Formats: sequence, C-alpha cells, structure tokens
Amino acid sequence: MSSFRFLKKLAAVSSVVLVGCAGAAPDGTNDKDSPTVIVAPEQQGVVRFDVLSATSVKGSYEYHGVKLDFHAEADSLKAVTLELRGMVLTGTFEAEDGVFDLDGFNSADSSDTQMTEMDTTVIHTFEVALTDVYRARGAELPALEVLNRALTVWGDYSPTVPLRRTFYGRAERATLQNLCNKVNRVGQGSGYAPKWTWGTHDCLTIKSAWSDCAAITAGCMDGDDSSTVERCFLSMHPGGSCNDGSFFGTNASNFRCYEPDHDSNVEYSYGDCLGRCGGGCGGGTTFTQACLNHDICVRFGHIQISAECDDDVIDAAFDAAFAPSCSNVGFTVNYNWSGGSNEGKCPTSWNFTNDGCDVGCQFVDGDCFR
Amino acid sequence: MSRARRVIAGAVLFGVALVVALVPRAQKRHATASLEGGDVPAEMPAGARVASPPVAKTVPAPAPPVAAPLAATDSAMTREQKQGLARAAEAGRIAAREQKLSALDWDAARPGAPPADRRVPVSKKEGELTVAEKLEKTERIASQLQERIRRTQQAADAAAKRGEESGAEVMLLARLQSRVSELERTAQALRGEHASPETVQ
Repeated sequence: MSSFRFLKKLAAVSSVVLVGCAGAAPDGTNDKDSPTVIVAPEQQGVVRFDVLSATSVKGSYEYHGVKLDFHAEADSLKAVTLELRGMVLTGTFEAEDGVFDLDGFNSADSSDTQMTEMDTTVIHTFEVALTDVYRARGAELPALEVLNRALTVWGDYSPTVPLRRTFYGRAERATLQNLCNKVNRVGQGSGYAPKWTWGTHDCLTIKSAWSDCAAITAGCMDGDDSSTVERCFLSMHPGGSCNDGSFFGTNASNFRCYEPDHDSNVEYSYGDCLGRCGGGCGGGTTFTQACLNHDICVRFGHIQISAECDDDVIDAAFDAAFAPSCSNVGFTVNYNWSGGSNEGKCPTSWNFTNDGCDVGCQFVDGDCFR
Repeated sequence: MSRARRVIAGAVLFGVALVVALVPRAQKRHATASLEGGDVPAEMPAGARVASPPVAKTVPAPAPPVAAPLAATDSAMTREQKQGLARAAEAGRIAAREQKLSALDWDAARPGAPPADRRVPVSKKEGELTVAEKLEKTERIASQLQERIRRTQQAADAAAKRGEESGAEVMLLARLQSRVSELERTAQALRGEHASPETVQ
C-alpha cells in the first residue's frame, strides 16, 4: 500500500505535525481551505479533520492500512459515530443523567458484531494520535471532548461484552471515586514523595482452600492478597515493551515489564498510565478506582479479552465517559528506555540525580516529578 | 575454676555483652528507616528516600560525582550519548509494535455477536441504582436517541434530495429505531417493577 508507506515515512520524520490549526475561526470552526492534519508520533497514524468546531468534529484516521471515519456532535445531543473495518459504532451520551448507550453493527448488513483486538488497537491508537490536539483544545471544543471520551471507552472495550448496551450509574459517584489526588504530578510534595494506592479485582482464580483467593469463595475476592496490588503508582508514565505495558516488582527498585499471575509477593506496579481510564496512555487524564481495578484485572493475571474482567470494564467504561479529568498530570519524558537494552536495567545513577526524566527503568525516576 | 574454664566463661560473657549492646541499635536503625520512608517504601532507592521527609522543601542538588566505577561511567555519559541510546529504544518500540500488529489477522471476517448464553456481567454501578433511578435514566437516553433518529432522518432526506445514496444513514436509522424500541420495552418493564408493591423502595 504505497500511500500508507508514504504516511509512515512522513510520520518517521516528524514527531507531531499540526497543519491548519491556525485557520480556526472565532466560533471554533476550522478554516475549510486548510484542513487540520495530525501526524502522530512514533508512526501512530495520521488524523485528518474535515470539521473541527465546538459542536461538531468530523474526519478520518489512518493507521496500519485501516481507515477510521469519525463524527461527533455536542450540542443538546452528544453523539459519536465511528466506522472502521466493516463496523459502525454509535454512542449517545447523557452526562447529567449518568447514562449512555452504545451500539455496534456490521456495516454491510446491519447485523450484530463484536469488538476485536484489531478494532480496539486502531481505536486506542487513534486516541493516542489525538493526544496533543485534545489537550490543547478539548476544553474549548465539547465535540472533541465527547469524541475523546468515546474513544477511551471503545479503545478498552472487551470483545466479550456485547456492543449494544446501556451503561448506567450515578454521575456524582463517578466524581467521588476519582483518584486525582493519588496521581503523581510534577512538583509534588517535598522534592520527590511518591504516592501509592491499591488496586484489586475479583475473579475465579483459586489459590487456597480457605483464605487467599479461596475455593470457599469460588475464587479471588476484592482485597485478597493475590488479586490486589498494594502499591500502584498512578501516573502518565508510558508503557513498557511487554504485552500489557506495565512494570511490576516486589519492591520499588526491581520493576520489570511482565505480567505476574496473581502473585501475592508482587505489590508494586507502574507504567502504561496505570489507573487511567482507557487502554494504556492517551489524551484523556481520568483516573478512577474502577479504571485502576480494571487495569489490575487485565494486567495481573488475566488477558485483555478475559470475561472475568468484564464487570470491571463496564464500571470503568462509565468512568471513562463521565468522571472528571485530572489536571496537571503530564510530565516531560527526556529518555524513554522501553524497547531498548536499558529497559528495566537502567544505571542507578540515573535515578533522581537531576539528569532528566528517565522512564522504563527498574525504578520510578524522581526527576520526572521535580 | 581452671584457667580454660575462666577463658570460656569470659568469652561467653563478652559475647552476651556485645549482643546486649548491638541489638537495640539495630532495632532503632530499622525503626528510623521506616519512619523516614513515610509514604516511600523502605526498599526505595536511597536517592529517592533522601528527599521524602515532609518538612524538606529543597530541591536536591544535581548529582554529585559517584565513586563507584560503573556509576562513574554512567555519569560520564554525555547527553548526546544518552539521546542516541533513547533513539535506539524508540526504534525498538516501533519495531515491536509493528511485529505485534503483523501477528494479528487483519483480513479476518467480522465476527458475529458474542454467544447469547455467555455470562452477562452486572455492573456494580448499575446495581446500586433504584428502579426509579434506572427508569428515569432509561427514559432520558431513549429521548436522546429519538433526537438522534430525527437528525439522521434529516441527513438521509438531504442526501436523497442531492441524488446521493444514503444507505449508511438508512441502516443507522434502522439500528437506532430498534434500539429505541428495546429501551422502551425496558422502561415499560421497569415501570411495572416500580409499581409492584414488592419492589417499591
């Protein structure tokens, strides 16, 4: 596919390129003569906006040879439509009442279908590609906000949950259960005082007869030793090279990127925006207990498509749609060692020695939060 | 007492005295380490722990020269060298992502709906709602979908006037209408449940 190769080359020589943003009119609409194009960093696709206004966002995204068309409206009605890989996804959101409705169907014959790993990969990467424009303009463009929220929901959707579903909850509870005060930020505390919080899940894994993840309770319960990570480091840290992107350890200086399987000795974790609503990192900055618990479920012994985490993903989806964003959680990454020979094996002299923010190490570098 | 026995007794007494003297110091050191750590685990690298006492406000100074040979080599690494290594890591990430993507079957036919007999998860948030609350929310989202149907119909009509095909809109309309019908049935059932004396809360 020659055009795709060209886009890859284009992406390779530019980290993030925004073309045409300067043409935005006072009402938030973009200048039609200069469409906005975003080339995402690290070859993660190209976004083209046909409309980028407060009430409507419309365009397409191309990644890995897949074209995704999107349209979001935000006035009296907040609605999103995506079309990709022969599937149409629709979302209708009512934030004030704490309810939203999703549907998805085969675009060829309108029959029911389900989410696949390829679909969530493209949708999530689209959210990643939108990161900069969303953070810069999401607050002034409600339609972009609605689109990004929908992407966080679908980008982390379980293939075993039906696409047609109404999600209910109390919006005020979403606010109460956010973990913004637990997210690690630049300038926090006295120099570097990391914040930790716990994440847990319930499942059918049995590890003992009576106590931890017991047979008598038909598996792990919330708070059991083997289904809980006591010290989760919530932050916008990018992911590691392992499948789930998170680093785990038995203490705060021996992190490595892998997936422990309900290991009661492992109580430390960070990376891939642990606790953020949505799959891995992206533009949204919503952190809640439900989203953290879902991350722990799928990264601490279960695969992403495990039906055992579906109750968690449904609660997390509600928060992804409606819970408030956490402010000032971004930080500058100077050196990302994920995927390189230093991943999980950084020299200790890089830790909190004022030599720039290193990520992907066996420790959480305090330089990232000075 | 023979000389040998006196020597042995003396050695034992000296050992006991040594233990008595050292154990409290070791315990105190352990306790201090725990207190100093605060929110930081005791296993945290020393560099991270130094700055953690709540009263300390100073930003740690740049890294002092380190005597250990390995660390000296690391700190001698120039920013350019480090950036070069980081670029190699980025290339590794891109390659790994491409490899992961290429392992997926992108040409597979779209799957059907998940099996009907599959366990349908119950949301904790939904479980907390009263019947009245759920009814209100169902009616509200159904009303929003009605508005969406109206707008989609408008778009389909406009496309038809322009002589364009509007198959996608027609299909979307049908899905939205069937969804509204489902929600109206749900609302009807909830109204019955709400009116039933056994479930009134």
